[in-house]
Amino acid sequence: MARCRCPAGNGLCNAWIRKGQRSPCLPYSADPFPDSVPGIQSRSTHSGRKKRRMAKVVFTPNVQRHVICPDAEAAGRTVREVLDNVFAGNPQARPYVLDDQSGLRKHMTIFVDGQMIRDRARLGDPVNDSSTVYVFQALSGG
Amino acid sequence: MSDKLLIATRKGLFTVSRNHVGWEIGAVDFLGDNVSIALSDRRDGRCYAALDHGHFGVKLHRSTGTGWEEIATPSYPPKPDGYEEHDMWGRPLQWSTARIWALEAGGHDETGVIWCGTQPGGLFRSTDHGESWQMVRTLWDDPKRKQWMGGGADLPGIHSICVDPRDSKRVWIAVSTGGIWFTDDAGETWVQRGEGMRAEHVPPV
Repeated sequence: MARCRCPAGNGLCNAWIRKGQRSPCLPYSADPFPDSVPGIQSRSTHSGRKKRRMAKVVFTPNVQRHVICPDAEAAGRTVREVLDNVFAGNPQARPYVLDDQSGLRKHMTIFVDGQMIRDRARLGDPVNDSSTVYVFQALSGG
Repeated sequence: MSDKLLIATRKGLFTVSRNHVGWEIGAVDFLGDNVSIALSDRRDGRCYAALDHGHFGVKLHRSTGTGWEEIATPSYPPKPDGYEEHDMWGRPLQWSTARIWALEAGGHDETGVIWCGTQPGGLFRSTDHGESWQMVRTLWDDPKRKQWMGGGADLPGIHSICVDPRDSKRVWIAVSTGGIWFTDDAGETWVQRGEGMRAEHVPPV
């Protein structure tokens, strides 16, 4: 059994779901039991007491409505390397963040340790083992 | 006449069916999502829906009657290093699917063939019900393609695809704005077919 991970919510959130079943909260793509990914450690299985040896990657909850994209820990010295490692085990999530040229989507943004990245095309901004990488929408307006 | 309509809207995909009373909304899929176009393939009953998720890009879904699944989205080829191309505003033209604006089934003798027109002007063809897509490079690489521009939109786009029911290799496409293009060899070669078209608002050349 596992809790439904639907972030949007329609009154059915937090429902218990049996393994093999789909979430009743979403019209599509809502597997609460994603397979474990070699080389990537899901935060839900990571012990917070241990010192991290890989960057932590946090994805916007809004994308979860469309594709399963759990927070993860992945190795890499640049944003590109870290994301490549994450998406190697979750290829369906890749085009939700990167465009056809493998650059960051026009209306997405990434922050590494509180700093917005500058190299949106090559994603060459540096990352270290203790970094936290936030991937979310670039919102504007008031 | 068909008794079923697929209506793609910015708030979801509505399936409207006709019964003895009249037309009624049946299924509602992708509620709240921007569905740019839908296709019901009468050859095999599959349905296709193109979604524009804004920040998260364009996605394509397919239904075989038991539910929707995400399938491959037509993807532009890597832009050559150092190559620059600009749109009508002088901004760099991104080689990336900005919108799926046309979906059309191939001929009755072409099982699995689907045509897809996109912004910023790429035409794609699938031979496996949308599992994979190949860009029609003969059209994309035509020098005249670079003269296309957005008509009401920022980017040029292919909005109509017509396959000749008598000969599946004969295909017309229409571009906003870039005229009408025709192939009689399933996309190997293209010619413009704008002769005789007249628009009163366009000054003579």
